[in-house]
Amino acid sequence: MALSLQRYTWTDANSRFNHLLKERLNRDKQRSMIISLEKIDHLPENLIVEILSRLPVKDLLQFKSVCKSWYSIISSPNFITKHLKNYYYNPNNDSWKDCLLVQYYVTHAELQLYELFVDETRRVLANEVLYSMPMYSSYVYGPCDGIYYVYQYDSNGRALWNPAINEFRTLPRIISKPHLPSNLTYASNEVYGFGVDPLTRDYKVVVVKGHWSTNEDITDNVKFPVSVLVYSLRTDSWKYCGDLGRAYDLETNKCYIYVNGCCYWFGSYDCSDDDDDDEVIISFDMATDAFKEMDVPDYSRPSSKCLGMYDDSLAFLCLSDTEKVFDVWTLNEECCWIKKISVGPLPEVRSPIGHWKDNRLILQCKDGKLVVYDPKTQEVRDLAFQKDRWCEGAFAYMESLVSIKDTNETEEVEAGNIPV
Amino acid sequence: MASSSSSSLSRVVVKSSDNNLFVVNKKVASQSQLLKQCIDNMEEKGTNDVILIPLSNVTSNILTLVLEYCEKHADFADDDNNNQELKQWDHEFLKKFDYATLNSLTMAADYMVTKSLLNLCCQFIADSIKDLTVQQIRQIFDIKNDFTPQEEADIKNENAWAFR
Repeated sequence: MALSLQRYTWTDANSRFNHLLKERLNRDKQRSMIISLEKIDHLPENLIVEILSRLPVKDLLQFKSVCKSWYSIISSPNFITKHLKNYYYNPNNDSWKDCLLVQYYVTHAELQLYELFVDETRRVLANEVLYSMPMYSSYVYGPCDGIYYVYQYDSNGRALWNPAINEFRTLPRIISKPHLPSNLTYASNEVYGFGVDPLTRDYKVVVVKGHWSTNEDITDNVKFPVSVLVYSLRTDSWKYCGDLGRAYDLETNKCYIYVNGCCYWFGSYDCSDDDDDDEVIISFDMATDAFKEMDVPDYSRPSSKCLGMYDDSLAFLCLSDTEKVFDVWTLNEECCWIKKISVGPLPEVRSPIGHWKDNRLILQCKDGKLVVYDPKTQEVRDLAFQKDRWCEGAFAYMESLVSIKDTNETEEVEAGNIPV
Repeated sequence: MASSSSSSLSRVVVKSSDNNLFVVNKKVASQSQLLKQCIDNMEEKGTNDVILIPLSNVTSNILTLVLEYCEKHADFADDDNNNQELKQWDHEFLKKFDYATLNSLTMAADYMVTKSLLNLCCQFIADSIKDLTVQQIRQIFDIKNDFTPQEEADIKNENAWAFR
């Protein structure tokens, strides 16, 4: 089985968790008493829309069965967009980020995805769907508007997945660069990004792939043009977007990075000598399909490092190998790197993994344990979650009603036909 | 008659649907885009008379509440929505009301175009109906189930996980 799910809470905060739970149950009780006394008059539809757009997906899926008019409200594309805005991208509400999905590499053939519950969350997630994740042992990346990109390394399979509404869409076979010389073949490794074009609202997958020579005389170090291939959900097809200016060795992100319509990867020029000065950050703009190269900050070398997000913008996380000091760099308005946070030494920590809600940062210890650093309290908290494997990804779980089905099918629903 | 220079009003009078009059300071009234629009229009015309704005959809009970909200919020800058004191006040303010009042308040906020109050009310109602069953929702909103049993079962099947 490719996927296991487990629920965790902070171990050191069990009493707090129970306390919060109790408080919430009491609140619920009081609430239901008020409700039984009074009835809400008939609100006009625009206000019903305003109220419903602030509810979690689980409630909305249930409330579809309240009546036909609610069904058509909740199914309408305008409502789904409004819901993303009012529920998810509402700065006053980030409780939905409490649940963390963590992915582990187990064996060559197997990746596992775990679901971590932290803080006071006691939601039911789309469990049944998560359990039967349709593509065996694949990398999961995202979510963007509740949609995940799923990549199966062995079978070269790619898909989009919205677990909340149980939609899974296998992408067409990836294309090759046109007129690829016959002595070249795609390297098996690739990095990818996933996001939405902010102008057209089209969801796009970008895959950056190098080439190997089929001629054995040439050493492995030589990587021929690194090609950029972009899938658009709207056209359901791949497009070749050119080659990068140089041969880069890029690293897959362990957390979801998508800032202002751009994807980013950390990497280096593919040189034979291991020189840290070759390091770069590559960005891809989802709206213009343009690539850019950026410098890395002047961090203390050698370090284990990765990209993440801090204050909703790109961040460079690094942990120095010798001093074990954890630094977070962000870009200022002039696009220069500045060191935002420096904490440590953290002798137990092996490497940074990425970001989480409230600017919290996820780190992995030498023994495989995950910890969270909270810049607000300057505390390092144990997530009480340990695997004797390395973490391959950590994402705040998100649900949405955004459909990834064929446009034709979506239109039928839009027309208000309730499938019977 | 006023000359070309536009006059400036300091107060307006607002009339509720049950014919009660409220004298409202201009800064407070401006929290409502509807009232602000009326004031701006009058000022453009250059009138010096005290203007009377009738609100045919809002009773005096509800208007009192809307004005209480506007009065509080007039003391804070527009971009001060994250002010903790104000947030706390908002919460305490709404907590007092039963659903019928909350409902009328929401409709009044919509009618008077007081966006922050409208958002606040909608969020408050949403938080209150979260986790309720479909049956409870129908009861509260007084909605008749117009699905056939088969249709209803199909919708539930489609989204089975959400009903656990």
